Amino acid sequence: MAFKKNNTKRIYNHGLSWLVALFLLMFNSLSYAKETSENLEHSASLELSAEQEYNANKPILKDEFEWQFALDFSLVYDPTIIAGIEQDELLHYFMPGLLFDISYKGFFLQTNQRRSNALLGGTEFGYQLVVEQNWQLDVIAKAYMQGYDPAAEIEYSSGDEKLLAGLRERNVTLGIALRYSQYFENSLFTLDLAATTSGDDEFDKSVRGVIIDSFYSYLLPYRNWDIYFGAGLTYFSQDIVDYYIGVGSDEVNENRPKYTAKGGLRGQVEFYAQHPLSASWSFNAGITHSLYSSNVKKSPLVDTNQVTQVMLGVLYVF
Amino acid sequence: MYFNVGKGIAMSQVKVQFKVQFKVQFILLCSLLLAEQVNANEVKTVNNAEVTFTALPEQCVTLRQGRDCFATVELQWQSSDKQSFCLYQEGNNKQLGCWQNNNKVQIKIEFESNKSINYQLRTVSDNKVIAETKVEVSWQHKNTTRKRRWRLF
Repeated sequence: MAFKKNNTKRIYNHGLSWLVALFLLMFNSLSYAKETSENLEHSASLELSAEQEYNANKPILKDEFEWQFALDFSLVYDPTIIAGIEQDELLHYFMPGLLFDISYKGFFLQTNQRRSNALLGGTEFGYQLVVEQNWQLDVIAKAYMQGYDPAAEIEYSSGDEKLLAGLRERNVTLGIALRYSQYFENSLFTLDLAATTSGDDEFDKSVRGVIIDSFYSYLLPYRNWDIYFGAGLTYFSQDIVDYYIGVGSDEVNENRPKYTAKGGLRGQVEFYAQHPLSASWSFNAGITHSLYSSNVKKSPLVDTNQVTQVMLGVLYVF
Repeated sequence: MYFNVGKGIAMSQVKVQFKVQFKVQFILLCSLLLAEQVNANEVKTVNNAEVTFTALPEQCVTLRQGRDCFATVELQWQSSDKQSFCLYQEGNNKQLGCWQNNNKVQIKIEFESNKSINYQLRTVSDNKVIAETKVEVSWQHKNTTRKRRWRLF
């Protein structure tokens, strides 16, 4: 669900240390396993003829470090379903970002979403478990949902004090997922099964949940344009939805009764286009419409169950 | 070794990918906001007269390596004396145009290629190449074995 930013500090305090520690442990063991596998492959490959040196059905293991960076200068209209949070100043629309794509021996770090207004918000850290010609299985870590900080919204972003005062801060939801990707000629389907952790609830218990995220993207090349059409369906378990739009007993006031949310779905449709302007600059624009389960409107914190996000800008590719 | 998977130029005979060291990229970063200079590709050949042969734009940029690049390219030749020339694409013997007793000609062509192309100006009388100009095809993202996902929000 689309929730606001302004919680970058909390992301680092709560999420990043947990994420880094877990992945260091996990990737440590994976990398040893992979080194053994590579050594065997290396020995075997010496016996292969030159014609056999590439087998499309083998996992692709990279020996070389590949990277690409891009700077994103975009204006983004990024509304949220939470009542009382608006973009009301021009500066709020300007969301520059550093987009990167780094890979090394199956590990990758990428901002696969087209923009990254928070350093962690659009970044995926992962490892390729299986890479076949038409499909792939990865383990990834990423922030699935952004949080919102009602106090910061009131103080710095003209958030509606009447609606937001007295609400606890909601943190980002981080997840570790298995991602299945199926590649077609000009399209891609991905399915993430994610175990997530958010911040603490009103009883100081860490909120854990499940997200199942699917997305289909179709590329239509037209002259020098890349045009993408996308559609997605995402399931959020009850704990996660309740963390963001439920009203705890400590947040109740005369306009805000206690509310416990149920699990929910989000459907998305997306259009995105990119066109090179020069060897380094490209123009990009996109629009995403998200529709949430109608039951989210029952929350006193929510004023709509659908939002349309728009992005317009230029990219500088290094 | 480390490679940037971005940006490169497709040459007409051999595809050359930029393997640019990080320092160079850093310098590029520093010159980020400088406008890119686009100059006409100018070749001067003397054949009793000075001939200028240019292509504009001289570079066609595509998003991804290997994709055809599309552009409307204006080829122009100019001579101090009247000449009779034919225009060819290198490696292709089909004439793109022939002109008798002219000293300035402009022609627009629809460029569509995934590699750089040389254009040649030849004399009508003996098919001698007297000038060349090139339209370079470059890309912003290299095609790598690792596939990428695209999603906006």
